[in-house]
Amino acid sequence: MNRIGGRIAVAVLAAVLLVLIVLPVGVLIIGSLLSDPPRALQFNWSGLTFSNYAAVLSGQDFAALLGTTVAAALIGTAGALVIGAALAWLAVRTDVPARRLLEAVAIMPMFVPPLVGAFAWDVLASPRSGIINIVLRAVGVGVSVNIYSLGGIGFVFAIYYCPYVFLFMAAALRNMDAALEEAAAMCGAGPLRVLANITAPLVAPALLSSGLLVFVLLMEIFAIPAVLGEPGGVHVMSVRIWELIGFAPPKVNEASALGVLLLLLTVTLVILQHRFLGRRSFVTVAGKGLRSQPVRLGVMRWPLATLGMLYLACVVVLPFSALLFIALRKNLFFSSLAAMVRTSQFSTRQFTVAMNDPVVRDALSNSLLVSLATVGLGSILYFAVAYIVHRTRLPGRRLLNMIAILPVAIPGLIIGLGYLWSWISLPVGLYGTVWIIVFAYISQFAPQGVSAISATLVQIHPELEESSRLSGAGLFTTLRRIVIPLAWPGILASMILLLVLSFREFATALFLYTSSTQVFSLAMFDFWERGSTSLVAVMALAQSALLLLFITIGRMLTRRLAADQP
Amino acid sequence: MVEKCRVRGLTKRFGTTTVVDDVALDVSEGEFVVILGPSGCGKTTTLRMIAGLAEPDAGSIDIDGRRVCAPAERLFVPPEQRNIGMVFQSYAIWPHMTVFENVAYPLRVRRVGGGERKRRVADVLERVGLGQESDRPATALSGGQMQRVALARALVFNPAMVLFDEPLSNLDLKLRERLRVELKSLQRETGLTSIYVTHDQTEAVELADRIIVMKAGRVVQTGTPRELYRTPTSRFVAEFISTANIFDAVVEGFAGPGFVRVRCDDGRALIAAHTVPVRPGERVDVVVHPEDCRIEATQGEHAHQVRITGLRYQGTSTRITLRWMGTEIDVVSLGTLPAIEEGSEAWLHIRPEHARVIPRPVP
Repeated sequence: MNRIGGRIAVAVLAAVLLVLIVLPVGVLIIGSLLSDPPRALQFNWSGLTFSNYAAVLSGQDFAALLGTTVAAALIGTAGALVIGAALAWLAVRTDVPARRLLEAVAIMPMFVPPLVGAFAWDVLASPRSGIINIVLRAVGVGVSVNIYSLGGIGFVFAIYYCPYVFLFMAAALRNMDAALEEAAAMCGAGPLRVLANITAPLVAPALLSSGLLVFVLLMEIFAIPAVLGEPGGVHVMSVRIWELIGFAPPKVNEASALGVLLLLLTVTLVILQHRFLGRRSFVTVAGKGLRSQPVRLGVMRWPLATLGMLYLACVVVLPFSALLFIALRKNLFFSSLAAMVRTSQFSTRQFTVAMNDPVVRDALSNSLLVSLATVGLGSILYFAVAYIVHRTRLPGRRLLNMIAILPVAIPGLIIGLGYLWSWISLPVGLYGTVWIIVFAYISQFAPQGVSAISATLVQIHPELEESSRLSGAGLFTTLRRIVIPLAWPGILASMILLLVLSFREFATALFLYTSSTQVFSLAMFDFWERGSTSLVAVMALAQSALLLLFITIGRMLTRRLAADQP
Repeated sequence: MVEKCRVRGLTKRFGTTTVVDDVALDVSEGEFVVILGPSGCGKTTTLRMIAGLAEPDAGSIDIDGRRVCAPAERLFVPPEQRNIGMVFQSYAIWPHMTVFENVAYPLRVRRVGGGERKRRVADVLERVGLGQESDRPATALSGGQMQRVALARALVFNPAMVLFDEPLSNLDLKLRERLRVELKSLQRETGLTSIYVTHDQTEAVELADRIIVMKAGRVVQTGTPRELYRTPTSRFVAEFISTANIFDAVVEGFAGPGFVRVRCDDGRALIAAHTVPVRPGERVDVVVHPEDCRIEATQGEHAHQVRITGLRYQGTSTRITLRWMGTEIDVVSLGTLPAIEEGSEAWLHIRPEHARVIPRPVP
């Protein structure tokens, strides 16, 4: 690429990213300082005020709101750390039975949309009609579980977010030179001592970093507290933002102020996390392929394996069984075990009803359209950014990278709110179409997309490209003939990831849809709010099945591609 | 001599491949034993089984007269209870500790009190030449310094013996040579019993009191460096231990007690020494070390006419390539050379005691 062409490319990409990512956040911040709701092409600058912040901060329950948000996120993070680190250690370092299965199980929740998990746990453990409580009552145990509590929400947070901790920890444990632990054994330290003195301090940075990441995600999350928090009066910031806009009279400016406050928190935490990641990691890759002997668990082998399988039950078996059960019930009024299992009450009618419901069908086709558009347009943008950042020395590439990873710290809900502000006030007919949702998704998933494609690009040795250029091929020929064919399995895997993320996304679209552009997750949430539980169960199963299908097809395609390449 | 380590019938399988196959070895107190072999010969696995970092499928290991491992008796003493020091190839210096903390760790584990601990760590750091570096973070060290810390850590608790797993292979050549000398003198001073694994024959020859040569999981020969050099029992050992000339030849007849006449397929004939019985007509290998040959301008007894094809000066010696009938031969000459040049004719003198017959293994 010649210098001028390169600079133009950087400028164009920077402009695109600014409009997609920086503009909405900027407009949101301005909006939080105005007294009027957004209106086409009008900022009423005379209304510049801090009163929105004052209203939010002096609100009678702001301290409680902040306290609950942080407390739920803390409980969830602590649980995710314990479960994730324990599973990683078991799967990577011990002789626990079925290690491979355990590893597969540990990352499964990543494919279960949080909204679906929340629905399922509502069905399972709501205080009165939850299936678990009915069973407990039937057995005659005097205890009951309440998922509508701070602890209940923390529990659901923990089981669905521990895969992030698992992935960090498993990588750290795997990359650690086993000789570091063996040396301690040779010095006379027993297994527990090695774990405490050597292994734990060495993986501490990974643990801390993944903990911060999970904490940020849990501060931002909307789906789980929206479903499980409201009935029991557990209110968090993200849900409050939605209520401020959704309930009459809408207080958009106040919601924006609360959004900016949440954004401040998450941005601070993400910066903290990067500082920890940036510090020289202790974990060093050893040159030698020799694997140490796994830690022998002895009599604890089976009990620990059982605990691992209990986790599988919590995240997959129980939730999906509950959803399937609800989907197959003719009516949902049962209060005893006997009534619950009466076979005459089962039918597949709900599935037919759901499939013929025009709202469901429209939502499905909207979701597919939005997802495919996000994948198509997003991949091109992410590839261009990743290529310029990692393969050129063009000025401005660091800025591109910075803007692209910015949304890590921006809750999906906030991106949506920002889009609402900016595109309602611009005279482009974007608001009300599915495209505003597509653009919001492309902004929201930029960090994941760019880093996934970057990871593939950096694996291709630059000399492969350089020799193509020296053979006389221009940049675009080199891209088409060398880079893209080599990177294709990785790009395809990134596209599948994007497809999964955008098909299950919920909070980002919350403020951007109209009745004709509703996406699948939103329709599900709508039905749930109106109490159509059976329909929701069918839809949740359908969404999970489709996601599983995407992932399976993706795996098969990438595997075939990988097998084709030498 | 007191026996420090005794290994019998040691066997280790990974799936269907046997990586260590019925290995026996003995190490006496104060002895420096080197296990030498190409990569994949099972030497590191043998060492790791002695350490307790890998479990054998069969055999037994005794250390200091105590049985530490015998799969047949379901006996396995974990590494932390074997009282052995070990120096790893990757050094395995803990990056979250200072030099002092690294070296003091074995003492801390053994609950050695603060004053005593400080004294012993200072002592051993002094001995490996790191007296000044005690408080530095371990990550600030160079490769050579890390190696010294690893050695100090393995020595500080007076272990029954120290195991070395290719400890110098990650260092550059100069440093490797210096550390080799230091290690040898340290071992002499302290009378440390050591087992050292390497694939580098120079290292083995320089360090070892005794070398154990391994190939494909088995011990092929054990002996002092001199014995292996002088009387290799197989072509593999001869090739591995030195850059010898090895001829494929047939025994023609006897030439006095201990000597036979041999002839190669291309017609080269010479007299060679043998220590194991051979029969006329038997196919054998004949080893001639490059430095045992002499090149003269004149003929004499046991001289063969050759043509010089290459001369390479290597500091104090000259490496000469010559063609003897159809075969290229390497010769090393120390000191002054007779006036020969490339392309000239000369006489290659090989004394019968410098050509050694190695019998072929019976197929």
